[in-house]
Amino acid sequence: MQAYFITRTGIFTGLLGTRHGRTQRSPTRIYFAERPYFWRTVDLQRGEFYVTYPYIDLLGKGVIFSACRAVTRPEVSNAIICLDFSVPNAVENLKNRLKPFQIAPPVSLSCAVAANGDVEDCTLESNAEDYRHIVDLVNRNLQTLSRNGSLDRITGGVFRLEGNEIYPVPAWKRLLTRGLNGLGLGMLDAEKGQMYFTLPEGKKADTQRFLVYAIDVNEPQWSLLGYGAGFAFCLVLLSLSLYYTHQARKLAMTFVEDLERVMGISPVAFIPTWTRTPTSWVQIWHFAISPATRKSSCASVHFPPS
Amino acid sequence: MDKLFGIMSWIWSRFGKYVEVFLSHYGLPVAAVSLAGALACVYFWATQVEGIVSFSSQSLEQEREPVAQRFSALESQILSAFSKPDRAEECLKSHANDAFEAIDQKLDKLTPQDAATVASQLQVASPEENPRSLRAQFLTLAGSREAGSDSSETRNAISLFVPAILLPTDPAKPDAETTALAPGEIANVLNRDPQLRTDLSASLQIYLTSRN
Repeated sequence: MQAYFITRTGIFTGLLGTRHGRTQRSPTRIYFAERPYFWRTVDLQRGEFYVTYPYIDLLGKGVIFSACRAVTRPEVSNAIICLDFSVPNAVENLKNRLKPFQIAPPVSLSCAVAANGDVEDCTLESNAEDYRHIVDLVNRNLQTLSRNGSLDRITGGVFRLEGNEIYPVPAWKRLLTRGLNGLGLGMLDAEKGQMYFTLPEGKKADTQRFLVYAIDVNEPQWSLLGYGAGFAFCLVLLSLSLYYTHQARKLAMTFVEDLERVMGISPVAFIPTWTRTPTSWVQIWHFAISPATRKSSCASVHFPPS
Repeated sequence: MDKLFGIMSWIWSRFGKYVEVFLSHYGLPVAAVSLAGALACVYFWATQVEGIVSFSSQSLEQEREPVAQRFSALESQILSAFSKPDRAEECLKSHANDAFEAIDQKLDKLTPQDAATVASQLQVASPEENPRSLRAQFLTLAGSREAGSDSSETRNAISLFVPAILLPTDPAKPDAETTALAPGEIANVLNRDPQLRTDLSASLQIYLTSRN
């Protein structure tokens, strides 16, 4: 838990929790009284609390909500005191939040970010899979921010990682994107659609934890396209199947009708025999239509042949 | 388009007869499988559309603290998974009011200090080594880590923080708004703004008593 005191004159004072949970240095241009909870709290009756919607802590604690109460003292300008609380199960919620867009599941990293702005290489929370390329990308970005003195950009909110594509875009996707864009369907370029960004997950002493996301903003469109194509394919296959089934049945029925017609006009013996061809067995029907064999052939019909 | 039809015709002329023979014999099972596949595709398509629509509607509907960010839409999207805690106000009234009352009582004993006294407890710091601009500076507690004088484990990073851009500059100096503040100028700055000085006294009083 951390508590702080904010005044209209721009003072931010950490009151509790700073001894064991050192905060990353704050940016030098943030006027905390512009935060929306400040004036809402000031407007409340004495003793009333304003509870914020969950938001991402500027100092790296991850998703939190604040409970604020105004300080009423004539000499002091408008001022509030706030307590920050962590949101329970925040990490699980965060991991599942962007599932439809994810190229890979989010990765948890631990990075040593000292209060004086020094950073060390990040380490993976789990070694289940090889995410070395992601760790390297985060390390490069952290080093750059540390050199520029703007680490609060990564610890205080969503930060888009600058770097080459980690997950290469397949050639068919590039081609299809161009084709669809040519048809006016308006998809982002396959390369531009990929985004890597970090989200502060929480911090303990000088260790800052991040969730690293790899998303493709086109991913839902790809899924829709895939399901649409699958549906069209299944529909064509269904139509063909029904058509050929119908045709086969129609042919068989025609054959039976013809046979019945022939047998009605001139009943004859017929003996089916089986002959092997290079690819299959073929049933051959021998019709004995000579007047000499007509009578006896009716009595000696066997099917299948014995 | 003609080319596409040409390719399709060629494929059909090449493989159509096999398809025809196969489907003539196994038409019904293939039809059943195709029907199931088509229904599955429709189901997943509808699920996906529902997911996208719910994403959009949640982003539009969900309130959040409008903190300025470069990727605010993405942040809103992420934060729309969380809702405001239920009945937190009542819970805080019954459990946390005592802590806040204690701070109010401390402020009742507030004695405003003069600029020199307040200035002696503060220092100018910056994330840059030799800042040339006021924009890169801020006021913080004397001896804290930002000034590179980290000699004690108990000295914390941010205990008190005022961006230098909020400090009143000397009206007689036209370039004062951009020039970096020298360490000895804090008392002069505080003299120009009695309200800031009082607020700093209050902040220091609350901070020092809460630390002890």
